[in-house]
Amino acid sequence: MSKKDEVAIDSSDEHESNRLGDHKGDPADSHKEQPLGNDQSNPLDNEQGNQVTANKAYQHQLVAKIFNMQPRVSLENGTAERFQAELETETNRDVNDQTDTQTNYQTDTQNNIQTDTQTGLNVYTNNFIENGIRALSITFPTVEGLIGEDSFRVLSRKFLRHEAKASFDWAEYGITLPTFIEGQEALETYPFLSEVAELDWTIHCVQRETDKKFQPATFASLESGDTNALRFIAAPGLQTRNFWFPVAYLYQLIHEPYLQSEEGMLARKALLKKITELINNAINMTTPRSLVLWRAEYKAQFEYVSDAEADVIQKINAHASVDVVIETIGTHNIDLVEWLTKAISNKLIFAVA
Amino acid sequence: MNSKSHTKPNSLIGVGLRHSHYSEALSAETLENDVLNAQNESGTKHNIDFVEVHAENFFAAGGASRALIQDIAQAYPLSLHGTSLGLGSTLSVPVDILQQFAKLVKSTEPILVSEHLCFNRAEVNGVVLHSGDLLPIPYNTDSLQTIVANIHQVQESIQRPLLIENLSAYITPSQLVALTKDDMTEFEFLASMCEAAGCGILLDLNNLIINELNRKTANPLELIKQRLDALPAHIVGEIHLAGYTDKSSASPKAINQANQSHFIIDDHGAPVSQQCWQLYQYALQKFPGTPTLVEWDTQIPEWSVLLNEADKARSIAEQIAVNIETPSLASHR
Repeated sequence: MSKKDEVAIDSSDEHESNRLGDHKGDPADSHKEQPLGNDQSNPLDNEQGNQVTANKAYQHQLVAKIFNMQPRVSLENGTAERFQAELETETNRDVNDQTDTQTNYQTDTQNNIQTDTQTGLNVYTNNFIENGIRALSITFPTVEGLIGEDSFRVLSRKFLRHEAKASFDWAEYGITLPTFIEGQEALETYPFLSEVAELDWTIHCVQRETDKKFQPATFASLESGDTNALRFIAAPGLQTRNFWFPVAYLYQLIHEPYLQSEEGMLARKALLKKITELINNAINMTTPRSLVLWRAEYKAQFEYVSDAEADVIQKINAHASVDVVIETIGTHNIDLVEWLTKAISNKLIFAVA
Repeated sequence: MNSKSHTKPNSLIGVGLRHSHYSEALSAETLENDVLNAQNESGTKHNIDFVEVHAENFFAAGGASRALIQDIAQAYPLSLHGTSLGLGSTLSVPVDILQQFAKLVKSTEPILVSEHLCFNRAEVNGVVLHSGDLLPIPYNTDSLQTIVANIHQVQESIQRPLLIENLSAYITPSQLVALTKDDMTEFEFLASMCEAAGCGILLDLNNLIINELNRKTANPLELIKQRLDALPAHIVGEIHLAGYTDKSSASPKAINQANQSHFIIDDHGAPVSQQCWQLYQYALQKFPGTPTLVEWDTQIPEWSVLLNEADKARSIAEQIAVNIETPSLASHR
């Protein structure tokens, strides 16, 4: 930027301030504002009313611009568009009011303002994109690990453009990424990526579930209590999910520290071979595999389970009575004592109540 | 509400506690280190008197973050810094978000609770969208009424006063909508807001500097000092110090983030700038005994480097405390 430009910007700020000051007391300007308010009301009320509308229009426009969205005419009477037209009118009027020399100077100033506005907007848009990429990389670490940082940035950028952020918290953003990935032709070489994203999202949510207290002593009531009235209290986030692809092994491939080390190279190769086979077999599978997810302490846990075990877990999640759960276990010929011991020791269930 | 009595503890020095420092900050070695834990004049046991965390990082209903915030609150006096309430938004703060915020305040009992002078959301095409950013508001009467009402609502909910941080901004609202004219200056707005809402100011010196540098102000520090002179001392409840990435030494990614613009981006990605230290010396003379926090949020350094920055702040604070007449200092405590 040249020194001349710097001076122009300084002057533009001052001029803008003066112009606004003049605007307050200029009858012509007051007249111009009348259609926005009530002609009969106090001029101060009018001004306040105009501010209310103008502030809303500004917030609406800035957010829409950050999201690169074309807002529909959603403010009363096309307010946003009218403000834009007024902005242009005022700009033209200001330029016309100057002497020739001043006009050139002012034109430079207005160009600078416009450039600055766009540059400022770019900063906010860029902040949104960068914050979004960072948030998505935290929520979907396995997806990022599988396709690499650069590809993940490209994917995230596209997703951020596609899915506007309607949540307060970045941690709640991204639920539709698995579906979005399915539609990305560039990711066809990763047919499993959508399911991996679904696993990442589920783990993320499980880890944010409300805490529960593990109460092993309550299991004693299974022997003495009314098992038809009792229910198993599930671990935070307990659920089953079906996946066609070997998502648990793909997760392991990316996150297990040993597999990232030199000593773990052979094990990594073996796991990769296994994953490749399972991916190829996925095409021929008739049913997906069940994965159970839960949180025993702070970290989400997951493991593959049989369809029979998944059925039992679904009964627990549906708040079925202990009797019904035991009946389901019997139907599937699962050893009750073995199942119960494992469920308690793994903290799949936290209590009986 | 009397903001002074609730929001201005003795001259405390803190640091922003971010994810990469959790382990070290909470390690037994750190918490038991005699050198680090030498008692300061206020009897606090760490060489940092408090840490600041971003409230939204602990909004999860359960899990590790809930446990972590309790550990942090047990180890250090806490400052809870909200970044998502968008108190200047013309849309009201949703009840559920406010409840999460209030629940966190209640469970952690922080010494300071703060938010920003900004908006962050708007309804576009029938959907309320959240920018995830701190966006500037016009300094006019309507904005004042909006933010005061929202601050009242939050303060009622948390049963204590807020501190509101001044913003770094890359656009002026009237650049987008001409009629969002300012009818007061930023500091006039802040002072009126504090008077009407009973809140205080979190004075971010780095934000003031960045705004003036981006406006190409000839003598930014002199201008800011003049503004500080006009600010009622009793409303300043906390000071933030930070640095920004010098683009001449920035990584390609950082330059990309700056969008090849002439703007300095408030990235908190460097040591506290020399200008910021100079301004801090001046500000502390105006607002002695004000709790001070060093922020470093990107390109985060070693924990020890951050602590060194806190030490610099403490040296300045102690030097100024000695130079200032005792009654003047006592009046702020």
